[in-house]
Amino acid sequence: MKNLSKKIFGLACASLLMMSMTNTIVEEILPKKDCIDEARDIAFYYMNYHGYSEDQGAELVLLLIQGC
Amino acid sequence: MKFLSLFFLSLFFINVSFTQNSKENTTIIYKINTNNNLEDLDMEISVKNRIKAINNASDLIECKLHFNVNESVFYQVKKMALNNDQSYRLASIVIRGLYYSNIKDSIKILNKNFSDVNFNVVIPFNKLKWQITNDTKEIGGYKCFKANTIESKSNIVAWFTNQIPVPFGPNGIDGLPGLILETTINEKLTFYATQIKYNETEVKFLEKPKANKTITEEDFLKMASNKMTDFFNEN
Repeated sequence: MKNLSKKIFGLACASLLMMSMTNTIVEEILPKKDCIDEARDIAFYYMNYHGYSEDQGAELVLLLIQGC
Repeated sequence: MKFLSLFFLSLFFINVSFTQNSKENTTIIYKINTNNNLEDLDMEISVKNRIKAINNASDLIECKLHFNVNESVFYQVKKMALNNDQSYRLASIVIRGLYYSNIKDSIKILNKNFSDVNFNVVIPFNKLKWQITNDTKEIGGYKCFKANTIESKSNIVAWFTNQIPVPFGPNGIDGLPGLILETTINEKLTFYATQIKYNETEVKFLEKPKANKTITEEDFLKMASNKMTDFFNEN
């Protein structure tokens, strides 16, 4: 009985730990993904509307994602 | 149209022969204006706000074009106080690098840093093809003619004056029978001259730039394009 309680407690702790880790990973990845998508949209805007060349587009993306 | 072309050609040669012996340097200061109308575009509000911030920062950009009858150099004036301003740094990407042109040797070079390498990018001379129109307007006391690019990726409108008969202009936009005082790309981005200084004695960079690597524009664009594709594939 004591062993079973220990096992249930261990499982509960492990699942709590996993849940918190998953949340942290989601919190870290999602804003980064949004930020990269935003950088891509901004670069494409300047390439389409301001006549930027490929090198200018790449420079924009690289500088924008430094802040991600 | 044929008459108009002949008219400009004759004016060009008259003016060139008139100023041919001159070794004097002239400087033009250009500033930038952007069209901030983004209402019709299907983009996130955060993206639109970011673009507006970058566009607003481009008001602070100042560029210089130095030239004599044979050579020209165009570059952005460095502003140390704005070095850490993120919007200004992003806005500054509009100036692709330092452009050097030499008419006698038919050379056009873009000098720029890319991926930690300093490149001399060789651009085909007189790459832009123009159609000159009858439309005129006055800019800073100079009579300017309107020209549009043909067979070009972007729609570029330029106002040039044959009263200053050199084929130079801002940010690599050139090849007309007179100095470009104003030019607009896709109705969104405008370079406009704010000042002309004649008989300049202290002129910087008016010589072929030195670089670590020389590359054709075609190869350079392929390299930049691959870099961007690799980045998006990895992320």
